[in-house]
Amino acid sequence: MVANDSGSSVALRSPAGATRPTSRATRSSRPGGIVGGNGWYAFGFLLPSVILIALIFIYPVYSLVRMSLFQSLGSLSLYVGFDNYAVVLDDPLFRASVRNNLVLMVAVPVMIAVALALALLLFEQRKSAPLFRFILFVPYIISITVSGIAFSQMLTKNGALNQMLEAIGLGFLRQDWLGDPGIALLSVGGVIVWREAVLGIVLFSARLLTLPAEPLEAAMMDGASRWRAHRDVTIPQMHGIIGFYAITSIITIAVWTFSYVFVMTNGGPGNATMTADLYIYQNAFTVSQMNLAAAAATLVLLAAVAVVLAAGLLGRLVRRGEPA
Amino acid sequence: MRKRFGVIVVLALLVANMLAPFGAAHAQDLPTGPVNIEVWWWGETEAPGSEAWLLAAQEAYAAEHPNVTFTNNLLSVDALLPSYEAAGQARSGPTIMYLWGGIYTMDAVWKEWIVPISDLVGMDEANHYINKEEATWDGKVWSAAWYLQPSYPIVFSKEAFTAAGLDPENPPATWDEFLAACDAFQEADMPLIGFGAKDTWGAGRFLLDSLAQQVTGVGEVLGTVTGDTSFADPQYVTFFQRWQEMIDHGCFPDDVASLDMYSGQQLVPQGKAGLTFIAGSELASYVESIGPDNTGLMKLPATGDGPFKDQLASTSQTLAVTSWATDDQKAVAADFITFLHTPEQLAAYFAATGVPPSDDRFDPALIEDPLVRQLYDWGTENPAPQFENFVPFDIWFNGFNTAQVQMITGEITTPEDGAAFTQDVADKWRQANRLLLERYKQWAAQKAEAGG
Amino acid sequence: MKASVSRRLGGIVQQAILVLASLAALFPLWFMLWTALRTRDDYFRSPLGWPQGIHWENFVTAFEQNIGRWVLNSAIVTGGSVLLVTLVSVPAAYAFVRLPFRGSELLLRLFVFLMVIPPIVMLLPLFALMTALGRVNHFDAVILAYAGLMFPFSVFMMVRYIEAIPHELYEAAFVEGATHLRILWSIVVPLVSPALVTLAIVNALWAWNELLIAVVMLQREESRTLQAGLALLKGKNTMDIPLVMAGATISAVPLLLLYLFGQRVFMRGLLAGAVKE
Repeated sequence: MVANDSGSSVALRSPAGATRPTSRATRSSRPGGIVGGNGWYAFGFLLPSVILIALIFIYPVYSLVRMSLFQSLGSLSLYVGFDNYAVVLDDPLFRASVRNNLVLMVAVPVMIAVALALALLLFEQRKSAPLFRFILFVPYIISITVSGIAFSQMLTKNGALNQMLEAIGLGFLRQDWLGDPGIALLSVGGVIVWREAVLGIVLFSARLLTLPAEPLEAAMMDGASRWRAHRDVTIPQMHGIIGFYAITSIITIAVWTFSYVFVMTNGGPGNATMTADLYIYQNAFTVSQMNLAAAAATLVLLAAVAVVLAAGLLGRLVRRGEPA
Repeated sequence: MRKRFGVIVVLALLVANMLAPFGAAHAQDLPTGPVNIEVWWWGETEAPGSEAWLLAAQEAYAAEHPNVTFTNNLLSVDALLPSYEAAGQARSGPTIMYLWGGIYTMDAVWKEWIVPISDLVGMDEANHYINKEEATWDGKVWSAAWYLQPSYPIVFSKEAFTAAGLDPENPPATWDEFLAACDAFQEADMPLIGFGAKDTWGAGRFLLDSLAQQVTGVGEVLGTVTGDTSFADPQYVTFFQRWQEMIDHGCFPDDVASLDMYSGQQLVPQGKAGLTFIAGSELASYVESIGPDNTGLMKLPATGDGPFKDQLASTSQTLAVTSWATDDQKAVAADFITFLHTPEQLAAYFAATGVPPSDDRFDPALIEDPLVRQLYDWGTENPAPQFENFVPFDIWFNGFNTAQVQMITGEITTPEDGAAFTQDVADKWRQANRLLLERYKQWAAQKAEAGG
Repeated sequence: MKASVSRRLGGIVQQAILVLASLAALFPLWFMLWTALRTRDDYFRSPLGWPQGIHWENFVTAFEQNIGRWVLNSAIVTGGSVLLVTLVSVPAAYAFVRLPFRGSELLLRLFVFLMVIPPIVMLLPLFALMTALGRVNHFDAVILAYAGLMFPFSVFMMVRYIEAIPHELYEAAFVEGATHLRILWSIVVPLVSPALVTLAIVNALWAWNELLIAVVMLQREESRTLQAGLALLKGKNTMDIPLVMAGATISAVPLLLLYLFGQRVFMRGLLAGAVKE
């Protein structure tokens, strides 16, 4: 149902296109006389949402940009133009945090691979699938705060994971998972995969169930092994949903990592796991440089818009290449 | 709109200042209607028992003043500054806020979060607060000292010293001996220092101790903050040099980057490390957990040859009254704070926590534990300034402390790079905080005038 | 014959992988419970070892740290924001579908586009706004912020569902002279009620788990949400890991129970929610 539709991915982001036929039909069937009344209804029905959007989005964006052009202390304010932007762009910590967000992107292909593999396994093992599916979805039910707290303890150098590795003879894999700056970021990425891959499993499973069985069977008749057939037949049919999942994951990692790093590392050790959203939070509320934080937030906003526009473009290209 | 409001606040403050003598007298006429006092604080972690005492004191006060109720918000150290920032901007929340000294109090002053306590309780009362210089601005005392924080003494486990082949009665007295102790402990398969770097906080303890031994005074540090001199200058490089030597001598636990500050310190009572830097207020609880006969107390051996090389620093943790409190709340809050400074409450605080309160009316003869007494004397007899409280948090934490951690994890490899890293953060701080920088310069001038 | 053996072997390998993945999925949950039942010293001695006796008192202590209150707060904030966003987004979606006007498509496009704006960007100005309105530490500030942030997805989803309602169903009502309000209430809402449940679940999951806004907007101990309280509980009790784990376990329970008993509904919500992030 829904997931099936979302298989056509980025179409979702421009629903207006889908609106058109319905609305035109409605328009033509309506007696002309009550248009004025309809106008009032439309106004009344939309007013609350316009107020909400103005209050929560429009005004804040305006005031954010405004905030980023000043430096303030208590009730004093000083207009500084774009100086705050210059400071942020020149700040090695901001650059490091953006770089960390980019490094975390390696989690995206991993998430896709893990989710795809598990979805195919669930598809193959239909009998036991309900039980496994029930269990595999649990990471998504537990909040990031809760699982982050658990992981931050499990991943210490003398913690549960290393102890377990020792116990099963894999002691050589021991790492200071969150303490070694070379690894900490990847560990955080691992936890993100642990939770966010669930979404991929959900999406891919739903899509798999809606695929026609014939092409797969035909491929196997031709002597291809089951996995080969999946690779050559099933996965190409899922391009749309995979692309959609990739884009949502990229957005997640670009701008929604706060809960993970805030709970697990708070950016440490050193600044090894500082990400852009934590940088903004810390500047605003820990070192009380609200105006600097506003400049950084504006930059993140611009980047998010750019990513989405690029992703929309990419999605359009992907869809064009997709077999009908 | 906001600006105009600010002007009104400033005017109101001016008027309040002119009326100050009357204000102090007015404190006698306490409101009789219901008043709620909301206390936002931290400190239970470094002075365990404070919460129980505070609740008891509030109960005792409310018994005398049945119209007064209290609510408390005990914050975590990570949440403290963000919560204040939020409350300050919202101009709502606490009636009484717990503040660290120096810049942490000044920040609240300059942002108009608090009103001078000396206007509310009178200068005669405020003169009893130990380390009130840290809370002084424009000739007024802005926050009331609560408990004393000699910073940062070292506790050690005598058993661990013996096990490492060292003399527990003669702990290292020179820097070379200190490093040799690291080596000896390494031989015994144990780190000398119980320390955790995960949350970055702990690095500041060695920083203060060592820095206090390198620099000549508050003026020098304020001058570096405002940009007259550089954090890449020799005295600061020397500090990072000492830090590097500790890393090279294996002074820290092997899982140092996985442990946060408190877990690192706890290695000593757990028998897994030789010594640790503690906040002075933590001494009593460490004596208890390490064992009274097993605990030793020392200062960091001199790492430089500044005028304070043999002194610990000292600060007071304080309580201030917020500017957005109603007049009734201010009057009651001030009266409550004065109540906390009565001899009975000072003694009760000490009894509840083992931490000496920061008021010269407290009778040090009440201190029975020789180590706690020793530390009290270090903290009150001509101590070094708490330099930590004169450096902006951004530079201290995101500059110095972060560089220290990155040296441990190997991301920064030389002392010079550590100092340069700090200087970069200081440059950024100055560009991002022009108004604050002006205040800093005024503060430096006031300090110079006061001869400190 | 040979093929069937290898297929069976393949089946066993597949099962084994699924079992391993399931263990990985459940491990943190088990670790929390395992740790919550022991004492501090016991945990420091060996985090994975067998507990030296079962210690339920950590749960008692955790409850004394206000966790019950935080659960209630989370329920208020979640319930309030989900209700509000439903009330706002359903009429709006109806208007977009049934009452289009010049520029309505553009407006809808704008609304949906707002979906991609990350909360961290809105945090500072929203905080400043709530500060100016004196609503910091009040639930209504958070409810409003959550509803606003959930709105773009909600209106987008409701538009899609209302579009799917067959046109004929409206005709009769029009002939009878029913007003739009009446049609919305007595035709559209009943028809999309399954979608409303799904939407509510997606939004509730998001609101229940939200941390950033909650941490900043709700500063008082007794007004915190569960996630914010828990994150700060961890900061406050760095030395008492079993206590923190007891708190974490308790906070995981409400949603796990819901999941256990409403798996089908949940699953549908997750599918729809996938579109959201």
